[in-house]
Amino acid sequence: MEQFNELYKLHYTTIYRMVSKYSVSRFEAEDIVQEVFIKLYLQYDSGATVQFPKTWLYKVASNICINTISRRKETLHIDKVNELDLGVFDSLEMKIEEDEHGKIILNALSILKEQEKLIVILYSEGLSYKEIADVSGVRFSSVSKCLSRALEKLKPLLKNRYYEMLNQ
Amino acid sequence: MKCLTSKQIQRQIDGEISSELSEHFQQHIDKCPSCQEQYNDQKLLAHSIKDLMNASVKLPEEIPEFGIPKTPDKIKVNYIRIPFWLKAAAVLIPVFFVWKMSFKPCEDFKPSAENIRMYEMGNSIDANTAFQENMITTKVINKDGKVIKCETN
Repeated sequence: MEQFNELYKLHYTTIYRMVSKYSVSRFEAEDIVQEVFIKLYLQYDSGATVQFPKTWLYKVASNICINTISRRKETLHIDKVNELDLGVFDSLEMKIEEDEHGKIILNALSILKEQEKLIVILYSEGLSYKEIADVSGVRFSSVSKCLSRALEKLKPLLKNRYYEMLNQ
Repeated sequence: MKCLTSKQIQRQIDGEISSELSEHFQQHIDKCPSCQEQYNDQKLLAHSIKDLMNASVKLPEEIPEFGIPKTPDKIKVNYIRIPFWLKAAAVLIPVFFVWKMSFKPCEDFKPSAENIRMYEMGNSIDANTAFQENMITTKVINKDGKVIKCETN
């Protein structure tokens, strides 16, 4: 289990960052990351070995994120429940803070297809094309094509911020 | 050389290309103003999206301790150990009785000539036809072998 503890310390922040990019709340992100590492723990506990732990963790995390989001769509979309009313956020300030941080980019990401979104998230994590291909299941030769297409889709949505940076 | 595609430019930006091809592409980008513009534009877009995405995430201050998941205790099943001789006996005893009953030798059965004749007579009746349709002849023979009485059904 020493190996597991090392991986936990090494990759916790990385996986947390990746999960947070999937418009999930802080609490959801913590739960998802915990679930990912529980799966890894059980994998090691059963005596199995994970050849590429980093890729494995990204893969499991992305699957859980996609499931969580699709489940949420099924339940919340109908009634459009106000999260503030449900007490998901501790306070109004916290909600505003979360909004400020993620609003622009996360809103923009929501227009992408699930696979494109994953590729952009993995790309922002600094993964190589080979690793992106392994995690997302997209062919290695198609990664650059999918990526440039997805980034191009985001361009008009990030217009203000983008031109701000362009003028700097 | 033809102008570069957005896919090729993306690979050039990310360094996902062989050094030879990269040099070749760079030479073209330096010469071609439209490709240069496209390259700068795409590079800025890619980097700004990366930066924006990473800036949007608030990382936890410290890594929480991992709670080892509790696995359910293995159910203990107390098997009753049946000794081998009992298992063998459970198989052999019924086998012995079945064998004994099936292959009982019929030592007492010693049919006489009369019995055999009667058996053969009985077998001459066609069992597939009705009893009434079979003609049964009963003959009474005296000591000399003469038929003194003969009846049919």
